[in-house]
Amino acid sequence: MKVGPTFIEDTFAEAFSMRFCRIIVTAFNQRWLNAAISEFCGYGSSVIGCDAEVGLEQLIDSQDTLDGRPGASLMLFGFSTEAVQKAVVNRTGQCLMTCPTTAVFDGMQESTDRVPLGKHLRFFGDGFQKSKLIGERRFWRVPVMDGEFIVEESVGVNKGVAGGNFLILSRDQTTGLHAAERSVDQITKLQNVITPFPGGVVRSGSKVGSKYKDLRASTAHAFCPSLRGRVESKLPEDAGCVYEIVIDGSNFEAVAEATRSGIKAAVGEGIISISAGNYGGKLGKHHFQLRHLLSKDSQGANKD
Amino acid sequence: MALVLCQQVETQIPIEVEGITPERLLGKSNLEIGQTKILYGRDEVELGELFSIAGALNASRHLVFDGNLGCVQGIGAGQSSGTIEIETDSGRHVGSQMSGGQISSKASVSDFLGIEMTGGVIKVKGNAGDGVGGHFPGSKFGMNRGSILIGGNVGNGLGQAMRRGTIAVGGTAGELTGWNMLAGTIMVFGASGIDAGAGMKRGTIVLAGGLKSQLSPTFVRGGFYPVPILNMLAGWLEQNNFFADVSSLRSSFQAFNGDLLNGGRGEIFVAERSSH
Repeated sequence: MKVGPTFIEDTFAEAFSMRFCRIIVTAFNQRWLNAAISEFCGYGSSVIGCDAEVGLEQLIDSQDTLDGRPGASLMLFGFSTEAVQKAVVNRTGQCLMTCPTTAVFDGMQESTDRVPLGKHLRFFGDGFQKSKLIGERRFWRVPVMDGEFIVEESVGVNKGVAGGNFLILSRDQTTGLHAAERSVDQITKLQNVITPFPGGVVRSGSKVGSKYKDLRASTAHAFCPSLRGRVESKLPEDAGCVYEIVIDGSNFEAVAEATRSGIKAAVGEGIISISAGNYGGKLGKHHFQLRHLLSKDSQGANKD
Repeated sequence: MALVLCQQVETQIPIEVEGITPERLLGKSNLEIGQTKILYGRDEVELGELFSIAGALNASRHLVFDGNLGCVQGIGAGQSSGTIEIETDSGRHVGSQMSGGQISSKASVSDFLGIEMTGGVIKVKGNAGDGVGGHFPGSKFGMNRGSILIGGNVGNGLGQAMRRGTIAVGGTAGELTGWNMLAGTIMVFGASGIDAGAGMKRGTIVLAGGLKSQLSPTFVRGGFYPVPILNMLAGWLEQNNFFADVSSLRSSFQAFNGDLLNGGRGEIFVAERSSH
């Protein structure tokens, strides 16, 4: 199957069920909102080595936030509800409460499964904290040196899908990088998904395990151009660079849509083929068949 | 479709309709509703003797009170769900001890609106009397959750000993707003009378319309700054179609902490244009 000049490999991406929460962060202006986003999302690329996979879902206009300031919705994925709770409390406490002017709200009011956030962080107030019930939502007001840090008592947690992916195999690094940028730009427009890696792009795709017994993951050698000739390469003859886009989303359909949009944006001159990472279908319960995704009538396959 | 109860009798004698609520009338025929016992002064009478009954109560649980309601007391008292609409000026104890649902009055209500309520929403387009959101004599605590939104003016003792919940008043408030308040939020957009917050332990009083006289000296001046939580309350009031302009909540306020005689953990925010 080809889309334009780009060959679509007959393979699938394998993704996992994970838990996620969504928080809404607001700040005085875009500068401090950006600072908060950068800090909160830092070191949040993959649960292989981080406490959570974290990313910016979308920016929110000041008219649409609870406190009338510019905001952003951030999604955080973890292996369990407990992992999500630990990560969101730690990151909010260290990265958002410390950031000038920020406030933090729940972005999934509809979720009945909830984890405490302000309920824990309020203790930083050392007894001077106050709560305020507005409607049915409780907010904590923690006194800080620039006024008050407002944080919602709890945030909702839901089941999500993490690890959706596709690989862009390009003629050279420049062409591949531009294609990856087009993909990420397209996916950024969508709701309910994040691309948690730097700039949304991964250059160090991994395989499970290593020759070193203590390592859980190591470089995907079959896709490394510099190892061509030394290993059984999966690269076409004229491919000189591979970038991976990893997608986490609130559900299968969201990740499928992001994968489809991302691939469509990536294909073009100099993009040799599009592939995907999987583990033979044995580990993740969500399978995204690339060719099915790109045909009109199908959205891949879900083991559910 | 709504069930309409219209009070037909010209009287000065109190009529107690406590318990005549949507959830308790649901499933009854109009004949059975008319046979419901209520108090007329000291006497027990059937509802149908004083009220005409029209329409029906369906799953939407919509009940309307109309007619001469000045002496009708306890409309919506103990209500837990559904909607009650009040078409004319009504008596005391509207929404007392209600736990859910909504009461909307197109006119004014008398004293003790929403006392000891534990949930739900009360909206009054006109004025309200004394003791809004307070408590019955002998009780320790006033309103505990829920919201009371009043477009007009209120009397004395607004939110007395309230423990949780939100009260917003579009007009003026009398004396002793938030007297012995334990927690919760009171917002007054008109001028407020003397001794606001006297004895308050915790909670928030916002005097967006300023003060008629100074606060008690047992309140100490804090900073003058925009208060983020008030910005959020403004948004919530707008969402709930509050009767008055709430944009003043988005400006800076003079903060006071007190009552120092009772721990000093309460806060009063006074608008810039006040005498302070």
